[in-house]
Amino acid sequence: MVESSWNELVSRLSHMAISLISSRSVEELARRAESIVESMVPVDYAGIYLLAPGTSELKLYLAPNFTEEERQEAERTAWDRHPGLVIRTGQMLHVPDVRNDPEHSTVTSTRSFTVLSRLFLPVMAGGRCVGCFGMGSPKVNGFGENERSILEFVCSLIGVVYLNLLNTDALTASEQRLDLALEGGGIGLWDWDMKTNKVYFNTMWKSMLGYAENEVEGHVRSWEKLLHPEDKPRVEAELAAHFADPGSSYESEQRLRTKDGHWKWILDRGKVTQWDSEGRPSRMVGIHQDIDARKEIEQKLQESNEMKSAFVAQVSHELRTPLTSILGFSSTMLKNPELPIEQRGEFLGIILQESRRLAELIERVLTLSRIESKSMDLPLDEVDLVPLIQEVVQSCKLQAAERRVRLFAENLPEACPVTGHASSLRQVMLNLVGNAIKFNKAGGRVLIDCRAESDFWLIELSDNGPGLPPGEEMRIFERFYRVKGVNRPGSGLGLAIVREIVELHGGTVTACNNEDEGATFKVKLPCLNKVEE
Amino acid sequence: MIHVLLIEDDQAILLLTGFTLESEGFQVSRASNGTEGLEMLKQNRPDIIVCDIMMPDMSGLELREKLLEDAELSQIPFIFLTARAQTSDFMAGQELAVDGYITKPFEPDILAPAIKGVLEKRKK
Repeated sequence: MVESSWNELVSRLSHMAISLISSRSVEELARRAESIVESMVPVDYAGIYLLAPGTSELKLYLAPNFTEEERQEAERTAWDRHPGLVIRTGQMLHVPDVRNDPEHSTVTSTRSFTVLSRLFLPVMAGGRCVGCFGMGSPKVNGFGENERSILEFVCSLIGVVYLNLLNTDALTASEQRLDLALEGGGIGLWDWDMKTNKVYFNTMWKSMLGYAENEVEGHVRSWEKLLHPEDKPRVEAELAAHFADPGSSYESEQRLRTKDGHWKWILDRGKVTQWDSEGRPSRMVGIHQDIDARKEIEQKLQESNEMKSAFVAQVSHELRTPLTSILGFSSTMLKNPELPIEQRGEFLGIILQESRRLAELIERVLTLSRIESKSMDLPLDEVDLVPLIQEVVQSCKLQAAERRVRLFAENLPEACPVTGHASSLRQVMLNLVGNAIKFNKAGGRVLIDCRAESDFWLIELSDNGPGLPPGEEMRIFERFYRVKGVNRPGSGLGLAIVREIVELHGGTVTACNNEDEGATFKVKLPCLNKVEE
Repeated sequence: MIHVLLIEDDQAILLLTGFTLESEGFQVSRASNGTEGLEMLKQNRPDIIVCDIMMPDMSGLELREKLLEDAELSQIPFIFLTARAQTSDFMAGQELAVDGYITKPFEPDILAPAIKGVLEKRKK
C-alpha cells in the first residue's frame, strides 16, 4: 500500500470500521474482514478462527478452498498449531518466510497454496482474545509493518462486533425462549413502571381475557378497570402487604372481566424488582395464570361436600327419630307393667311401626348410596315394560282395595321394550303406583298409561287425589322432602331413588298437578332401538 | 304441678314424652309445630318449654330466636330435645342461651330429672 496523507488514512479506517460494525451475522463479518485485508495486501489464504460462546471450541470462517473434512480437521487441530498459540497468548505471530517455519509443512491442506509468508492476528474483545485471524501471502515478507498495524486494529474491531452479534443472538434466543415458554404455559406477563404507571402486557395477558393486542392500553388503569369490585379491596391490601414486606411474595386470586363480559378467575403473582432512593417501589414484574377452571372445580367440590354433610346430618336425624320411639316405648312398657291393655297395644303398635320405618329408611339410604357411587353395576337386559307394569298393578291391588282406590291400566301397547335392569324398573313402578294409592283420597282412582313419543316410551300415572303442593311439584324428588300435613309420611327417599334409577336408564321423571284435580307423574325411558344405536 | 309445653312434630315422640311426663306428675301441653307452640304460649305461660329443633316450617332455633325478642317469653326456661348432636348444634344452642340440651335417642327416665334440674338451677 502506498503511504497516503493522514486524512485519506483516517477516511479509509472509518470506512473499514463502518463496514465491520454493520455486519448482521458472523459470516458477513468474516467476509467483510476478508475484503478489507484484500484491499490492502494480496493474500492467497485467509481464515478466521472464533471461539464458540461458552466453550473452548473453535469455528473456522472463510478458508473458502477447504472441503468440509479439511475444515473440521483444521478446527480440531487449531489449538495445537499457530492459531492456538496466538489465542492463548493474545500476541500476534508473524512468519515472514515459511521456509523457516517447521509448522508450515504440517498444515493439513491438500491444496497447494503458494504461501510464502504468514500472519496470525489475535481477535480481541473485552480484554480477552476470542479468536485468531490467519492469512497467507504469496510473497516472502508479504506483510509490512504498516499493514500489520492496521490489521491489528481491524482485528480488534472484529472482536467487538463478534461479541456484540453473539450477545444479540443470545438475547434474541433468550427472549424467544421466554416468549415460547409463556405462550406454551398460557402465562401472561406484566411489567409495571410505578413512576409513570405505564405497564407492558404481553400478548397472552391480553388474549387470556379475550382482548386483541391493541385493545389494552399499556397503563395500570387498564388492569384496574377490569378488576372485580368485590375483589378490589382485598387485592389492594395484598399489594400493600407485599410493598411493606418485600421478602414476602405477592399472590392474589382475582376476577378480571373478559371481553365478552364474563368474570374470569386469575392468579396474579409478582415481585417488586426496583426501588427508588427513598425506598419506594419503582418497578414491579409479574405473571397471570388462568385458574378459572380450578375455581369452578373447587366451588363444585365445596357444594358437593356441603350437600354430603347436609345429607349425613339429615340421615342421622331420620334414623334417630324412630329409634327414640322404639327405645322410649320399650323402656316405658318395662317400667310400667300395670299399663292398661289398650295402651300397651298402642305402644307396641308404635314400636312395630317405627321399627319398620327404620328398616325401610336404612334400606333406602343404602340403595341411594349404591346408586350414587355407581357401585350398582346394573346388569342390563331387554326389558318389556308392559308385563312389568301389569305385575306391579297386580301386586298393589290389595293395598288399593284397602283405601278403596281404583287402578286402571288399560290401553297398554303390545310391547314397550327398553334396555334396562328389570328389578330396578319394577322398584320405580312400585314406588310410583304405591304413592298414587297412598296419597290419594279414599275412593280415588289412578290411571296408568304407556305410549310411544318419538324415541321414548312415556309412562303416565294420573290420579285424582289432593295433588302436589303448588309451586313445589318437582321438589318432591328431593331427598327427605315430605309433603306437609300428611300423617305418617315415608322415608322421604322413595322418589329420590326413583329419579336416580330413571336417570341411570337415560330417562326423565316429572310430576305436575292436573288442571282439575290430582297430579300426573310422567316417566320417559329411551326405546330399545334408539339405545342400541 | 309443673306445667311443661312440649313442641315436637313427630307424633310418636310427642306421645312418648307426654305420657312419660304425665306419669311423673307433670302437667303437659302439646304442640306439633312452632306456630302452634307460639299460639299456646300466648294463652298460657308454662313453667318450662321442651322443644325439638328439626321441624318443618319453623325450626326450634327459629322459634327460640323469636322468644328472645320478647322480654317475658325469653325468661321461660327452655330445653332443646333433638337428634342434632354435632358440636355446631351445641354451639347454636349456647348462643341462644338455652338451659339444656337433650339428645335423641334418650331414655324416657331422664326427662323428669332434667326438667327438675333446670328449674332448680333457675331458682338460684
